[in-house]
Amino acid sequence: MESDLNRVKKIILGDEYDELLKLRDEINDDGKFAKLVSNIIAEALKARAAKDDSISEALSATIDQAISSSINQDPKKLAQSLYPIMGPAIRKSISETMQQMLDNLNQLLEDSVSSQSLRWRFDAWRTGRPYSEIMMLNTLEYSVEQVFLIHRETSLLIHHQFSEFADTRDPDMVSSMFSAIQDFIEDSFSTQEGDLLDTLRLGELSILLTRGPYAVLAVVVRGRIPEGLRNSLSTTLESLHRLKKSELANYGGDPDDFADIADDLKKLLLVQRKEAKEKGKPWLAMVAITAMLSLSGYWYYIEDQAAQFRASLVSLLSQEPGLVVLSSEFDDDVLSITLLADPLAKDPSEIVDPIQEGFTVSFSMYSHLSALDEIVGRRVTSVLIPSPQLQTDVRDGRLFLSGRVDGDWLAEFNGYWPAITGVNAIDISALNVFYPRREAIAEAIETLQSIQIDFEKGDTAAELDDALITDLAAQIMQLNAVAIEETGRPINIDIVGYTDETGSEQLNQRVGLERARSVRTALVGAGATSTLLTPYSAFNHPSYDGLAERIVRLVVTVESLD
Amino acid sequence: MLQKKICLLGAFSVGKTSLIQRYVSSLFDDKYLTTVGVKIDKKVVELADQKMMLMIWDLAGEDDYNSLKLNHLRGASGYILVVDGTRPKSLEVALEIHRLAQEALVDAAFLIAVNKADLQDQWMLTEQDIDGLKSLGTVVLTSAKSGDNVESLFTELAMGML
Repeated sequence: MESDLNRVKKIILGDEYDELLKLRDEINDDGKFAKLVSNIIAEALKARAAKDDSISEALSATIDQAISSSINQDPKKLAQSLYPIMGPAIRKSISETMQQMLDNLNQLLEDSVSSQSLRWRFDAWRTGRPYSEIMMLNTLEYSVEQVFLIHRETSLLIHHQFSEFADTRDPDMVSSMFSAIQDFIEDSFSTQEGDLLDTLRLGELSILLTRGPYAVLAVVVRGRIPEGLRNSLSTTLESLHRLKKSELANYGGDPDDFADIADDLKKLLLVQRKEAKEKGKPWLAMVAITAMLSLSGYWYYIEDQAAQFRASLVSLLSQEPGLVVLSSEFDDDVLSITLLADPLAKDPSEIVDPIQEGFTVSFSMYSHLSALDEIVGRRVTSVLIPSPQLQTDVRDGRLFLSGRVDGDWLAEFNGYWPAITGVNAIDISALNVFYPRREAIAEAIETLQSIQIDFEKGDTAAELDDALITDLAAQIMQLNAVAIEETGRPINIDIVGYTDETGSEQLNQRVGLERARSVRTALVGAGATSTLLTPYSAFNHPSYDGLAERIVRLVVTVESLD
Repeated sequence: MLQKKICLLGAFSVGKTSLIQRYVSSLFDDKYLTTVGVKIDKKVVELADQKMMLMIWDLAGEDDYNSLKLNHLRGASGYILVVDGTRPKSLEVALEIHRLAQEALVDAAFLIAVNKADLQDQWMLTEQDIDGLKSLGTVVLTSAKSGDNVESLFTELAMGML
């Protein structure tokens, strides 16, 4: 019956009946239906999620339950899965806390007055930078010398990088020992389960340990641990866990599997020198050098001043006529100058005084006679008998005389000039020489010869004017005295008597002589020396010129007078 | 070069340290053993077609096996169980340690070294004791004093870990 019905259904529905049966079978069978749904479940969830949030809501309770059950079963598993994302989140939170702590610390340091902080304060003041920056500068001083990547399970060294400064000895043994010591310390001192050793310190060396699920990154830092290094370690370790997860998880002891991480680890070999200190201004050296420069500059200045003073002084002295500098040298602050000096030269100390600038000068002088024209000129002036209208000039050792001098002066000069040192010759071509006595003699002669003493007709003894005679006699005697002085011999005065034309020549001759004799007698009577006076009749006198007048004239003769 | 961690295990004074002293590179002083409880040495063994670097963890021996620090066993690819032929107590301790090690280490290679082979006339172990050991694994009779079988001890263990 049943089968008949099925047969009828099959006739009506044909092959589709079999497919319907198959479909029912698949829906009714849990295993088959699950397989069917699994083909489209992802797409279905996606499609629904695009529509509304119902899936999230529906699943959240289940997921919560799943997570808590997973944690209950094996917390490690979930921790390992979360490790890559938990690290950064925790670090961020820690770094914020650290920053705040650092600010507080900074404040604390700002309030402190240790010698170091005072020095930093001074540096801050000197460089014009904030105090906190200087402090950071001084603390950020480190060198990451070695980086060990250690397999956590086996303690085997996976990779090792080290800087040129590092002292590396058997890093593989060291890395195992790290692990052993960690175990030892954690076993010996750990108070809580899960406490881990993260820093070892020895003097200025620190070993920072950062752990991942499969590997430990250990770095050896010399100096202060830089802020951010731990972050770098964590980041590096996380990235290694990401990139090399399976190699780390199944590490079989072959480090070659990790040859390609060398660069990542090398980046951790940071070196931050205490540059502020090393490159800081070497104040002490600068001060010393400045002092040395100043001293040597001052010394050089002094030396230069001294040298300039000496040069200028020697130059001045050398320019001075009559001075010859032989040597000059400084003995301490005293400049000793040895020179030849003409007695007529300027006193050297008169030359020094105006330019003396804190120097003492001592002169050693040897006298000498200079042949310089200027000095010779002074010498001439000093020895010359002065004459009012005389000018002298010395050129090339020749003494030029000009102006007007009297003969006596010249005569005397001729006697002594060859003794004047430096005068080799004289030139008197421009000299006007005059002879005062001769002029006086000539003048007196002219005066005397111009005098005519008149006689009356036929008279031989004239009424002679006494005053005139006395004056004449005086003049004659004065002339004679001057003439003797000039020539060494007395004068001669011919007293010549003239007559008019009346009378005979014979008579006239006698009258003329008589007239001359009378004048002579009168003159002698007035004081004239008789031997100087010779009476003549004009007719007998060489000077007779035919003059016919009743007079007596005087004809004066001074011997040896041109 | 392939690296492996191995451990030297055994009771107090069985000659573990003496066994390796002449055959390994040491960086650390023996005093680590008494202070830290472990000392690490290194030995490179040459196998047929490669070299292998063994990081040897020499664990301080205690007659009280309960004090064995299992932490130190972690990650070891092999271990050498050292027994002093002259001290039956050391056998007892070794067997207990072996049991603990087998629990802690899965698939770890191991060898049993019966040391002080040079003093065989003073041995206190019976044939049955030795046979019992042989039933556990390979037994090598070694002498730290003469050096007998020491090289081969490490080579054999290395081959077992390949």
